[in-house]
Amino acid sequence: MAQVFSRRADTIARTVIAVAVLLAVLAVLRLVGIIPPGAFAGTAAAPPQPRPFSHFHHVAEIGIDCAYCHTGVHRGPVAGFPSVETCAGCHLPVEPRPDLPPPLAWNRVVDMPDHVFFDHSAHVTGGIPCAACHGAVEEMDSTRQAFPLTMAFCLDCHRTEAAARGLPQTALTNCYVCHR
Amino acid sequence: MTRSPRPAPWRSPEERAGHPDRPPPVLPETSRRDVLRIMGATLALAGTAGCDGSPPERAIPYAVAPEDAVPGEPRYYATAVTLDGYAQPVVAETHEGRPTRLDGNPRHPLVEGRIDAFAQAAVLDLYDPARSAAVWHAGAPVNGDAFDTALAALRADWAATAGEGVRLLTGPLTSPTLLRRVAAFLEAYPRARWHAHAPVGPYGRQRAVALAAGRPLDRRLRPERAAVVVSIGDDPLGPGPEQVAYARGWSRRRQGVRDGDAGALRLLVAEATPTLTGAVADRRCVADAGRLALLVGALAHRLGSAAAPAVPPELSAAETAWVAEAASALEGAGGRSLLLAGPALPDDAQALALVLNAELGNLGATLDLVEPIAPPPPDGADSLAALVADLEAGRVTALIALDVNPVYASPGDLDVAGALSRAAVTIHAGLYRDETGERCTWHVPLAHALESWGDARAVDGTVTIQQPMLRPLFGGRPAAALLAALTDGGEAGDEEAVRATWRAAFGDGFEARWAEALRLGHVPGSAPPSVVPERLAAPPPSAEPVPPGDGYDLLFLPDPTVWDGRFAANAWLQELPKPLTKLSWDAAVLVAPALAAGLGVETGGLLTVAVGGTRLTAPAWVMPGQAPRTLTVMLGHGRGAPAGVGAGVGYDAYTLRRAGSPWLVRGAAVERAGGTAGVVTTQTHGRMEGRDIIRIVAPGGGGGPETMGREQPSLYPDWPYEGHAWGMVIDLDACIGCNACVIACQAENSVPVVGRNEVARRREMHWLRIDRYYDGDAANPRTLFQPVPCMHCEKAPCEMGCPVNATVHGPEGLNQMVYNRCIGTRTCAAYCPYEVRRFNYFDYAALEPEGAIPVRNPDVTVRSRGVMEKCTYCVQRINAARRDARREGREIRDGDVRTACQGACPTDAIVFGDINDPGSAVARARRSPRHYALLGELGTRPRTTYLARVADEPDGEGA
Repeated sequence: MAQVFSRRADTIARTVIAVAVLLAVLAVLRLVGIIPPGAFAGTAAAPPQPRPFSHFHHVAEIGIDCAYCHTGVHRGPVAGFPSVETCAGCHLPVEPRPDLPPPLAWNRVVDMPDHVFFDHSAHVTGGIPCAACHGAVEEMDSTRQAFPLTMAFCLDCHRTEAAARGLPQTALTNCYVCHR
Repeated sequence: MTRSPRPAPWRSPEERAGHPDRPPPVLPETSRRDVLRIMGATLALAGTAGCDGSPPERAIPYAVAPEDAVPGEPRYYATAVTLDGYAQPVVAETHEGRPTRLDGNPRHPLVEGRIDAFAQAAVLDLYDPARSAAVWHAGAPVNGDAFDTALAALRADWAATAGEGVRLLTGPLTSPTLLRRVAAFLEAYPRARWHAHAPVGPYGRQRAVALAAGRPLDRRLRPERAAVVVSIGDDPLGPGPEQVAYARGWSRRRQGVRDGDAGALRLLVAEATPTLTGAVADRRCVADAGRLALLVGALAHRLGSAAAPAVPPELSAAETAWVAEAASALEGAGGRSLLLAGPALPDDAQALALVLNAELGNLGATLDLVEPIAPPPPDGADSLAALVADLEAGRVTALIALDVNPVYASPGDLDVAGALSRAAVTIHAGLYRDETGERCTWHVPLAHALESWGDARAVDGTVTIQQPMLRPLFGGRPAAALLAALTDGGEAGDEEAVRATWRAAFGDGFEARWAEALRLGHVPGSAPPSVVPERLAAPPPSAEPVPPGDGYDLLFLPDPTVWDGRFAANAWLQELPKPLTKLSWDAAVLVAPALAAGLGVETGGLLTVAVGGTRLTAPAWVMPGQAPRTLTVMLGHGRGAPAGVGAGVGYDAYTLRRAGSPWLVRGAAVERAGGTAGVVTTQTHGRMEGRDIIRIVAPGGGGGPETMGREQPSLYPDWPYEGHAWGMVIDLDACIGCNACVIACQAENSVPVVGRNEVARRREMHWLRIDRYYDGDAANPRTLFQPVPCMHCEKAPCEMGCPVNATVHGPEGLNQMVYNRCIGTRTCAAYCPYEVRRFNYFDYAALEPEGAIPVRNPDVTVRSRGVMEKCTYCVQRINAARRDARREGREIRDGDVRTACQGACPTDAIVFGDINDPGSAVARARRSPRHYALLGELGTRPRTTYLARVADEPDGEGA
């Protein structure tokens, strides 16, 4: 008569139990706050940057508008990063203008998946403030992702906005709005 | 509408005979070891695919942002690429400085925004990793400075001898700057000579015109003004630099026929091998290539021309009937006709046709003569032969070959490779280190048209100033700079050279006119005026053409996708199914069905064609509508390693070509070689099981309750389409099968290339295909084209079939494909009656060379393995139009959204728009009496619909 349990049954059972215990521990650590909120959604830590750029200083302390540096935000799909020349406008003397340093390679804080086509101008000119997705950037010394930016996060807003604007129910929630 | 029953159109002789699936082509064997190796690699990759947490993506800003640049928004520049030296006006779309696609220039008077397949595919050449990236000397790559040093020494030598023995070889030149530099070169070195070689080129036609007019002139056709067009062996709608302009003119005129006036345009064609012009002819006569000259003579006789031969040539009954009909049509047109004689006809026959045009009163009305847009070199069409003779006689010490490949693309009876070795210094400049580059002492990489300043004339003579989109990717040198460097005191670079030309031409206000010319993409008013030759007389007809005896007529044609071979390295064009044969990555000898039966071969069977002592073995292609004793071969294939991905595709027909008569060799022999070679064709792919796929109606006919009344009741609830409802109508009467839409779709949607073996397995990825059908007898059938994109059915079977909701219905009627949901069951493709869904069997995009990644459209997802994909109606353009409209606070207007295929189409066969808007162009087209739904009886309610082909004998045989 064939064996009821295979030779590997014990191993499988132990692995399942180990994974379950591990998940339970992680859940507890998250609930008591040892693991910060957003750690699983990519919103916890600020990625390292080549220079310690502070949005708090530039936005809250000096009062520069977002679009001063992110020039494409009203006009195109991408907000854009300021060119070295833009930075130099404040940071380097105008006369005599020294040679510009090479551009810095920033690490993206928000990296949308490649099959998602987000258009900044469509949102900003449609009355959605930057903070709706980027959070209180003016309070961040080192910039981090404020919200999970998952599909559910997008859809929450798209559903309510469609209703608020009197658009057909699927006008902002059909696949081709964001995916092509 | 009532139509008498007639046999359904067919696509291949095999299908007609009732066994549609030809034996699969011979593919390379895959050994068990290969399978295991590939599987191992796949498993290894599958293991890594699960890992997340890719390193953070970098964002690198500009140092100095371009003025007015909006990040992520494309910038557009008007410029031109060239084909055989002629400008093809384009607007280049660039993303962050990288050109991604070329569209026709809407401001250019000749093309009005339309473009052909070649010009669109030129952007892929820009990124081809097979392009030459180094200066070569004596068979090894060297530092580029070495060439400059050597050239300085050569200049001193040439100056000392006044250029004795120095020769410059170019392709056809229309560029005012290049012609000015050539003139400066000849002035600096008075004993030097300029030669020009074009495997296809205008020089043969100019020589024929010179026979009648006394000097070489170009002909400019005005098909939009012609009520009758008679073409004998010519193909004005066929591929080439003139296609877009002539197809537009023809389609405009043809609109009268579509609107019910059968007399608006009559097109009568006599030809030996099917062409795109013959496919849309009202009356098509099949005659062997060597007999076509007789038809011109007989026509002259019928018309009572003084230039007609004394004795009318003997013709067959069918030919006589055709000539009689052509003659009466020409006479009845009252100076609004065109008589065209093809380049393969003897010069005297072409000259006679020109004289007949003058006698019919067409000169100045439908046909203009202009000074040559591409001025002929001293020896005209025999320029290369003269150069080879001089080389062999040892009269040439130095040769500069600029952007030509005569070692490959020259008639087989000229030993260019051997002759080149007789010159001490040979300098080749080209995009590729091609067959000629390998045999020259120096090779210099040339910059692409999108990388350099330049200028060129379109076929009507209008000049476009070329501006660079980016710095040369491979360090190539612009042609204008290279020519300037041949003489002391030439301009320092390409921009200086072009500006110098136009500073002289524009005079005062240069900067403003220069900026305006760049903005418009053409120099207004630069087309030359037409000229009236002092005399126009037909020469006495040459001796009676040699009766063929046992021989066959061997006709040469430039390949419709790789042209003379210059596009052999272009994967988009190699994979593009040829309009009539649907061959992909392949070439064949076209033979008539009767001849094939006589020889005992079927399609794919090997034939040996012999001209004199030269023999060529190639697979046969049974071509319906081919003349019985004419063989047709395509130039541009059979290239070696320098052609990159095109290496080893097809066979080299140049070996059979003869310098004296490049288009037609009489008395060729053909025999069965035994054995078969697989030919790869898409003609039987995507077969739709259904009746009435292509409809043909009489002028003014069509309509009736049957046309759209086939909507079956549906168990599924109707969708509400509250806002827009996108739809497309394709006019089968306007489609000439030119493939511009297919390449437009490929470029816009980053459709991957799959290669020959995958095409043979029916895995080509083109989202838009053009089906070609035949109607009637195989000896002379009517040819029909039908572009088939996704139908975006309102009751889409694919949506009902998908188990994971990966293809869903959008609120505006788009059938949406959601790649990241697709698990690759392929159920949707099985359910699709139109066979428009494409499955990515391998990660085709990942197999493309890394260097070609920038050509992809960043607004479209790159699809991966195991995912279904298909036409999206260019949803990225719909979304962009919607966004722009909302930003400006308005509704989307009709015409705001133009799909890529629609934008390219030279004949406006495709209209797209909102069918909810009764005033839109697409809604108007849907009200046409010719409107019908493909396979409408299935109740799918397709959004892509068709307008029936118009023919005066809808149930007739076309002949």
